[in-house]
Amino acid sequence: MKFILSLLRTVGNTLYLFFLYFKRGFWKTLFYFFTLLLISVIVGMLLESNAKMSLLVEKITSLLPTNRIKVTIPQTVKREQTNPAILSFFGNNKQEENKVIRTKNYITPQKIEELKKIKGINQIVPIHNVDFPLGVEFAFPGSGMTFRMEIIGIGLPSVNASKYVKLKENKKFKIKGKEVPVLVASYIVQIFNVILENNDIDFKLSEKNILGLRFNAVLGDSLLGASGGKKEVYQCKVVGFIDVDYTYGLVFPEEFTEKYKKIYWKNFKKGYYDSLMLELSLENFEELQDTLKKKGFQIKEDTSLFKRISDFIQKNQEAVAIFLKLISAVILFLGMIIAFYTIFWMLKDRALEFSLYRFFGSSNLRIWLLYSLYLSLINLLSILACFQILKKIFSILGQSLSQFQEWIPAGFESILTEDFLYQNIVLSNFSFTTLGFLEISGFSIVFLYLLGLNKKL
Amino acid sequence: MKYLESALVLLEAKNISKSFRVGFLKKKKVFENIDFHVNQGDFLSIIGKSGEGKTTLVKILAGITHWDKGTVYYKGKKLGLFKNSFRKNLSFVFQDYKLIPNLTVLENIALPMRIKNTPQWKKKVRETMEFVGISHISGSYPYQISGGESQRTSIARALCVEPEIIFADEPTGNLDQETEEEILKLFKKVNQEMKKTFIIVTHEPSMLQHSNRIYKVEGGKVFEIHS
Repeated sequence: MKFILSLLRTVGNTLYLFFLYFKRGFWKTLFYFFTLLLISVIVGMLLESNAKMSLLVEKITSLLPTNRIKVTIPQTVKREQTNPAILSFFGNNKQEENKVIRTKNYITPQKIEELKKIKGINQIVPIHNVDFPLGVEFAFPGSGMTFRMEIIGIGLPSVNASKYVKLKENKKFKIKGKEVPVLVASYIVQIFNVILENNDIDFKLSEKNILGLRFNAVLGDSLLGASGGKKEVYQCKVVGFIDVDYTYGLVFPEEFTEKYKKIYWKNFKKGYYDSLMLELSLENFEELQDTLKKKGFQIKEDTSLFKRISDFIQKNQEAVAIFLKLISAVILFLGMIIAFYTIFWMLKDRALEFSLYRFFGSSNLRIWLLYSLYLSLINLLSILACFQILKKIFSILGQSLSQFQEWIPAGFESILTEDFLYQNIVLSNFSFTTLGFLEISGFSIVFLYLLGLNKKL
Repeated sequence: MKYLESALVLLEAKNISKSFRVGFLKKKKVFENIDFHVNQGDFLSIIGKSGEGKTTLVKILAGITHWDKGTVYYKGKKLGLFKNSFRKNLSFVFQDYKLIPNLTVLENIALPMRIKNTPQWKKKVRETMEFVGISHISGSYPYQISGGESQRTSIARALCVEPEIIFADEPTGNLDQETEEEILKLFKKVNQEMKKTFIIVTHEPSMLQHSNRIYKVEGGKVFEIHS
């Protein structure tokens, strides 16, 4: 019983002395708390932003690899016309003798075979250009109006395009009867919305509701070029989005484009292509580009805005990361000096108190532990507050960014995932490390101070 | 063995030498081989010119300051610096009171007992405050009370821990004559009623009149000039 009473008394008195630290230096305690809070919030924000940026670059790089290039060969088009006064596109009209004969340089299967032999070319995706008259007619649900558009398109082999197909029934990206599955570039959604707005139609399309949209593709018809001759109408259905390259709006199955290229270009054969999308090994990226040039290929640059932005981010990420880390280090360094100075300031203020404690029988170990624990408690509270504040800040930022989700081109949705928006990357580690560092520093500073403390009695 | 024979000797310093470093290499000698003893119940005054080492001597005896050579005995036992067993039997009254500014009078008085985990500290604080006549200012902060009240608080803090010896370094140095008289009376009251031993560094003639023994510190030596 006596022991328990003594123990309770010791605990009570220790808690009282602990409380006195707060009572004695309330404003300085607050100052120290807010100094730590401010520094850790700023540094934590910079480091977390940097980590998010790195992750963003990683995601963009995986979607738009820097090692992906598009090549073509100089395409010289030759036109021969038996009678220039008459234009016919498909040549199967009555005036056979007046048909226009078009030829151009294609990438032949031999050329592709040559490329396949080059070490470092990891993937070859052959592309057909829609270089024959093709008009598009469509009506928005409920509008009753029909629109005609000229959209640049390409043809892709089913095997390469299938991974972008969303609707189950069109997984193979093949023509079914008169219905042609079509992939669209995501910027098309914005173009459609501009058309709707210009025509005072109170309807906004999103990527979700454009999937499944049907429209007519009219072969032999073109707004930009001459039209005439036999027209053939196909019903197309949007089955997915594709943003591998921004130089087109629609992607048709290869079998569809092949059929009409054969009719339109005299020298076109199966296995001939206009351009190739290549994935090169990064190790000898420059050398491979030189080899391709020597073999007569031209490298086409993707000049789309998204590609330019992603290139800019990728190129500058390192510089920005260094800049952010440098700023963080400087702020952390200055912050720590301020924090340590504040600890010294608080300790100096307590020199008399410590001396009295010692004089009245308190051991140095007890003073050290008591004061260090008091500092630890402030550290813990400020880091917890910092963690909560940063979590809130990044959650608000995540919410703001999520509003842009519908503007992100399809295929790139994985950039703004829930994980990316709301999961913190380095925040927990940062908080834990900072707290650990502060604890060790706090205990060491108090220890050193007590060692060198001049008695104030 | 000599110390056990005389029950009156409470504290004794033998052949104490002390010097301070002046600059990097030079040392200034304060004392050289001094002897000093305090009997139980003494009201002992230490006088001397400024800078002769009165405060240093008291701090050595109180175990606050290091000494270079010699031995200090308390009831025949050899002492080291900051020995808690010895510390619990002494207390100190400072010229500048050494009260913690952000603690109330009551908290200042209670602090040593809370550090030492003394049981029934509240009762003791109350009784001591009544004894020294400062019950009415228990909730006040040091900056709210007069010099005399501050010194009484400092005395109450010293008394609370029930010491055998009370050291006082010029305890009335900052006070007016009237307050000085009051403090002196209080010291005598404590000395006579509570049987506490006093070792006082002083310049005040009135303090000397009440002392049963007087030591003078001069030229690095200590002389007993009156007993």
